[in-house]
Amino acid sequence: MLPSTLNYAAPTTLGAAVDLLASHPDAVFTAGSYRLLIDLKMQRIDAGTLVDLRKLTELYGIASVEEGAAYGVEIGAMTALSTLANDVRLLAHYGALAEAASATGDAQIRNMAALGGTLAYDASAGDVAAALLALDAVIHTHHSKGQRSLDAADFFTSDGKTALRHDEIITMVALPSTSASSIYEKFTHPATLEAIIGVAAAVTLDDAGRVAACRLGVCGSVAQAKRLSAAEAALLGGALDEAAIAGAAASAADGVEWLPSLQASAEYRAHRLGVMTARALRRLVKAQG
Amino acid sequence: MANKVFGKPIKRKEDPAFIQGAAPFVADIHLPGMAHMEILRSPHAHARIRSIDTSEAAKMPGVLKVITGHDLVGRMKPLPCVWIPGGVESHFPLHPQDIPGAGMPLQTDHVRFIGDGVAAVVAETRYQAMDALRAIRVDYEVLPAVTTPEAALAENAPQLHDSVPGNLNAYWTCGDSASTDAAIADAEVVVELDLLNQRTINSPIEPRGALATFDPVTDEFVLYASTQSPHNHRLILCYYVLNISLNKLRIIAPNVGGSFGTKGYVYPDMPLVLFMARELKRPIKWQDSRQGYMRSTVQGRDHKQRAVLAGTRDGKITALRCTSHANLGAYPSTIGPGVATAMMGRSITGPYAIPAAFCEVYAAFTNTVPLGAQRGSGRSEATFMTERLVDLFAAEIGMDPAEVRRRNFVQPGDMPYDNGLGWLYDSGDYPELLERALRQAGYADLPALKEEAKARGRRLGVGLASFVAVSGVGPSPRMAKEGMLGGTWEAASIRCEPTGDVVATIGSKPHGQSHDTVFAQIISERLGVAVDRISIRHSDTMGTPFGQGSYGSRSFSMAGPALYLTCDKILQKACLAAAHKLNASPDEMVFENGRFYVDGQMDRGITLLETTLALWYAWDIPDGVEPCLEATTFWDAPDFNYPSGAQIALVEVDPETGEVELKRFIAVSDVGVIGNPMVMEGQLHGGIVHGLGQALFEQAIYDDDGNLISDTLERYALPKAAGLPHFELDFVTSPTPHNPLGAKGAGEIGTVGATAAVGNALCDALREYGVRHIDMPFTPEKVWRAIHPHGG
Ligand SMILES: Cc1cc2nc3c(=O)[nH]c(=O)nc-3n(C[C@H](O)[C@H](O)[C@H](O)COP(=O)(O)OP(=O)(O)OC[C@H]3O[C@@H](n4cnc5c(N)ncnc54)[C@H](O)[C@@H]3O)c2cc1C
Repeated sequence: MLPSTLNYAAPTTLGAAVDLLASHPDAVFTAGSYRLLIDLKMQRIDAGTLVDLRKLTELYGIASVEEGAAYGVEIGAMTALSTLANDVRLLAHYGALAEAASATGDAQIRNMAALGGTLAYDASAGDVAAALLALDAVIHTHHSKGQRSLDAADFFTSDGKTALRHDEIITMVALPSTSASSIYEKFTHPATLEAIIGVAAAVTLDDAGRVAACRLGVCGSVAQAKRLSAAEAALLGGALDEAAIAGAAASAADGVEWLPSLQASAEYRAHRLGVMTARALRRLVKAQG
Repeated sequence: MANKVFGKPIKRKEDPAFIQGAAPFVADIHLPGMAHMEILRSPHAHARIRSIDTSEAAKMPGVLKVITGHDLVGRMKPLPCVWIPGGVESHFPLHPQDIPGAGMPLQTDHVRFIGDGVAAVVAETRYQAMDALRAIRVDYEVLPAVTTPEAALAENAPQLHDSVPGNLNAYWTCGDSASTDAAIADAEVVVELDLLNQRTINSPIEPRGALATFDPVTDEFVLYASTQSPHNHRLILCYYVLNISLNKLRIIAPNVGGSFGTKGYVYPDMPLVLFMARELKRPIKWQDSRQGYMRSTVQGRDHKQRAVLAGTRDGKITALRCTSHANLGAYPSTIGPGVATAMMGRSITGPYAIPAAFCEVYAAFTNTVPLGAQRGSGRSEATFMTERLVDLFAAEIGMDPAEVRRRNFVQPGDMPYDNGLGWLYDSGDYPELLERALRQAGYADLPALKEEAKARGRRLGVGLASFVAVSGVGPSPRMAKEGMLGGTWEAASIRCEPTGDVVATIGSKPHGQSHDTVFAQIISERLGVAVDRISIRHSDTMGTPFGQGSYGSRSFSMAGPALYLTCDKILQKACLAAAHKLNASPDEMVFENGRFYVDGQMDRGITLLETTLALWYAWDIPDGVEPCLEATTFWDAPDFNYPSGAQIALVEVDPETGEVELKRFIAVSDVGVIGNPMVMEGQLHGGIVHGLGQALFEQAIYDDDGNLISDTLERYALPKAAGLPHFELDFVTSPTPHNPLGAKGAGEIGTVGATAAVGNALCDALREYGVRHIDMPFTPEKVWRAIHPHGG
């Protein structure tokens, strides 16, 4: 139903926000509202109360966290994707996330959409999903019974949704310190601009030039954003050369479950994921000189 | 004398209001006491209606009235169809008057496409009306659906209309079948091609809306609607649909946010808001949503063509033959059947002198959204087909595609040229258009660029498209032969005010074309009055002369000449008055820079304003001359005009992914004389993008049950500005002899060649893979599969 009246609340504390959700079964959070307003207009969802998170100032910003000699970062859930795309720390150390954020939609969308909004709503379809998997992110939440932290791999569920409860707010996303280089490749939907396929790669080479650590993540028109473990296995321990890249590309689509798409068949997407994986890895090789 | 204003790139007078958001569209109009209407549409493409229960809906909050088709029986007639396939037997839904029908605004027992209306609700707010729709219970018996003309024409296919046996609206032909077949049988080389020119959905930024008021004291209606043809729609609504006196309906078409051919039709919502306004004696507004628009507003193209081109080994085309199945959708739209037949069929020879040509079209009804015109309609479908065939022919005989075109062009000296299919080309220099485009492209250097792209793992392709696009509908007697059930002349009036202001009223209605600016330039040049003292009034049937509206690239070449000739009348009359004032003979008068003077005596003169004043006072005017300075012209062109062009696309393909990137796009156009080059560039940019959209992205997708799958902009991709190259434009000018401006239509020619240029470029890029043809849109997967027919 397109309601002619809608209740609106803009709580200033996390507790109040969570309580509103817990006490109103027809309430929904809103962050950038980019998705929510469209869904309301298209009569895809019924909502009685909007709980606006924009006044929760503690959910904004990117903070560096010292972890021994290295730094990790903590990103508030209300931080806009455009902020992620332009952040020097992310660009230097978490390239996959900065690239995924800047590959998202268009400038207006990036200015409005919040990291938490895209995680909660777009889930496995969102560009940032692959990057967070590749960067080993931990997603922190707050709900009426307490708080949780979820590994990215546990956050995206196999039904295309997330592990979030109705009254659970994403508060922050933590990225551990890393020495890996990482990047993001995207096959863009011509209508929605979303990822038909997104693939993120984070690779650490040892002094001998062998792959010491590697994490590949896929997102887009998939049932579940997940790590590409077969491709990772093909790379681990060896040199990052053309043969290894070809091996990784060949097994990239193993275990990926594709959702129906008007734009591309599963066969084509599996092929393209391989091409994209190879290109991502070649770009990493190039970046590392 | 050189023009001062006409032909100059002056800024658009209409822009400040649009840019500041001050220009109202139907959706922006709010009248006191206004209520809102929503239409319940069939969820099934084909079904019988067993029963409709509106009792719950009628009790919903805010609901004022709920009607079904049964409430309209005897009170409203079906919509009519006014452009039918010309010169052949045709079958239509019925209409009680002597005109083909196009279905009732609401159906009572049989729905034929997913947008067919079954009930309408009026409520205090739009949302209440929407909610009430959900409470209407319709019991449908779902019937098998047909979505393609071939399926509709098959034996035992489900029947849509009792009065249309076998779903065949018309079998239409042009040209000489026997000589064409003989030439093909004798030919040294024959190339064949089956293709689908896919259905597309026009996507102007403004969806449609309609708002009606009724005055119970005077019985007068006002309809605000997003229409391209307010005068025609007034006539159709009054005379054919509602049975009301023409004098009781005024149509105002406020700003219309683009149309591209979709708002030139009478849609069910128009008579329904008028009906509800009378029933409830309140203003009633209906405003479509984007999704509603995509499901109920006419769609475009949709020809399944089987074509044969024959020629000699040395590159001469000897015959061209096309059999097309045109998908009219569930009902004929107001002018749909004419578009689907003549506009495509007669255009297939393009700019080439082809001795034998023939085209036949089977126009059929199917359970899809009705078909209408879409920018470049018919001519774009013909051009894509013929230009793809010319390239296949060139490949077959091992000749450069540019050279094949050179050897077959109609030459400038051959004008006027009868193409053998019904068009008589007026003027043009088709070889020069192509040569200029080739020079701009650096055609000779392209092989090196292709090598360079290949070294990068990419494939560069170059595609040419040469075309002619009949425009300027049209000469009325000629259009009558084409099945147009009405005149297609245009009208304009000019009044010179005693203050020096000039007001012109025209029947044509803009929906983005810049009438206010360019028509003022015509008058300014002729009368020597500053552009900002000239107002162009239109879009309101009260106070403007009857005109046919804006379609078929006709405004500038039809309303323009009407204005131009009205300026003649103004000057003739003013000349009499001026001569009288100056004690001179009218023959001695010269008019220059807004002033009459006696030939050879520059200082013995009088300005147009002084002359206007003299005619206004009327204290001392010549015998037989009426007071005031005002004139009207109804202009019917002696024939169509034929703009032409050559376009070149350069695309780069990524063979690993099938991704197609448009690198350059060159368009050399002959639109005759240009009124405002900046406006012209805008028309070309928009037109080209429209064609690129069809080439690369757009496709209306129906499932086998007739559900429209691509019914939102999330599923129907449009081109986006960020992904487009800079367009390289150039012009060749061959004035048409068919109107005094020498102007040809320009609204559509950007579109007409663009699909072919991109299609030819793509197939050129994929030559080494043996790819002959790919149907549009050229999505990465289709291209990849063409390169790798056996998968990755
Ligand atoms: C035209 C268009 C194109 C797009 N293109 C892309 C693209 O290319 N790539 C891409 O990844 N995404 C794309 N998006 C999605 C966009 O980036 C955002 O993901 C989307 O707008 C949601 O973010 P938001 O902040 O606007 O959330 P909202 O619309 O405000 O909220 C969406 C949902 O998320 C929930 N939610 C919001 N914040 C939180 C939180 N902190 N905790 C828990 N739940 C929360 C809300 O309850 C709501 O149900 C596109 C969106 C549109 C409309």
